[in-house]
Amino acid sequence: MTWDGNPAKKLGQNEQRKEFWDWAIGRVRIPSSAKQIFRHPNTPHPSTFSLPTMAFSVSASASASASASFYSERSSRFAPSAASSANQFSLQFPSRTRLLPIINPRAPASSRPRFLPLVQAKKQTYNSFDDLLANSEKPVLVDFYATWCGPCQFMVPILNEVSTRLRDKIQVVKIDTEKYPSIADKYRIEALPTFIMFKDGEPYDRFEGALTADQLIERIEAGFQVKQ
Amino acid sequence: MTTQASAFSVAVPSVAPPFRRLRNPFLVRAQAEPSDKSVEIMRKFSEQYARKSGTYFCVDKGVTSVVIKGLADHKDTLGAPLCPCRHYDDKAAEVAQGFWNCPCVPMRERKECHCMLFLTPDNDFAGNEQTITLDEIQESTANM
Repeated sequence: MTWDGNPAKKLGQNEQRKEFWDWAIGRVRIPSSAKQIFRHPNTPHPSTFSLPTMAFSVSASASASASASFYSERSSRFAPSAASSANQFSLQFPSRTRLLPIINPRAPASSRPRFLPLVQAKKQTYNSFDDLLANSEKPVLVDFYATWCGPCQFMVPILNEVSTRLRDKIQVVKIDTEKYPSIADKYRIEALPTFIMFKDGEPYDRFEGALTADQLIERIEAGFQVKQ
Repeated sequence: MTTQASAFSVAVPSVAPPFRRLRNPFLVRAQAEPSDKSVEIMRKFSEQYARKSGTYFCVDKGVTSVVIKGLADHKDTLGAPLCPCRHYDDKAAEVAQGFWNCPCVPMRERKECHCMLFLTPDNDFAGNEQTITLDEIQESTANM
C-alpha cells in the first residue's frame, strides 16, 4: 500500500532504475491529481529544488524559533494524519532527507532542527532578504561571510558577544555568500568579511575586515550617532 | 574554534532503494572538505612563503588553518588557490586572470593579506611563528 492508498505496483527493471534516480536527484512521483492538494501556492515544483531556499541564520534576542517556515506548513498538510494517528504509511521516497523539501511524516519539521544549531543564532526562514530587512524594527548588522574565510570564522564568537551586549539595539544576521551569491552581488560584496548596517531596509554604514568586539561596538554606536 | 558551517548529508533511507546491485551506501556530502593532499601542499606553500616574505602567522592558528583549507578547497575545485576571503562573480574567470591567485598581487606588492594568513610583524594579530603542522590544522578545523 502506498501513501495514496493504492496497492504498490510491481515495477520492471527499467522502471525501478527510473524510480531510483528520481529519488536520488530529489524528484518524487506524485500523481497529478494529488498535486493540487499538496502544493503550497508559493512553492516551485519539487524538481527545481536544490538547496533549501532563503534560510538565514539570525541572532535574535526575542522570538520563538525555527518552526515558522513554509516547509512545516507543507508537512502538516501533506501528512495530516501521520502526526495525529498511529497509521504507518509506506513511502516511496526516503524517510530521512535533509536537503529535500519533501517532508518526512514521521518527524514533523518543527520537532527536529533542520540544521545543526549554529552558535547562538536562531534560524528563521524569510521569503527574501528584503523581507527580513523590511520587517526588522531595529537596525540590522549583516555579516557577509564564507565558510573557508579565516577572518570570518574569527568573527563568529565576537559577533555573538556583540549581539548579546547590544541585544536591544541591533539584530545580527549572517549571510553565506557561497549560498546566496545573488544577495552578495546585489550589494557588491568583494572582500570578506563585509559588514553592512541597515536601517529601514537601507544600508547606512559599511566596513570590511575583522575587528575586536570593542572596535565593532564602537563602530556600530558611531553609526547610530550619525543616523540621528 | 566555533564555526558557521554546517555539514549536509543525505542519510541512506531505511527502505532499500530498488536498484539493489549498487551496494554503495549512497551517502552524499556537500563539498565541504578539501582533499588531504591539497591541504598538505598549501600548508607547505604557506610556511615557505611566510619565510620568504618575512611575515608571520596569526596568533590564533585557527584563522591560519581555515585559510589554508580554503586555499586547498579552491585548488581542488578550480585548479588554482584563489583567495578564499573574497566574493567573486565568476571564479573561473578570476583564476584565469590571476590577480587573486595566492599569493595575490596586493600581497606580492605590499605584503597586504586581508585573509590574515601572512601578517607583517607590526600587525596586532601577528604571532611569532612561521610554521604550522598538519595536526594543528586538523584540530582547529575539526568542528567545521
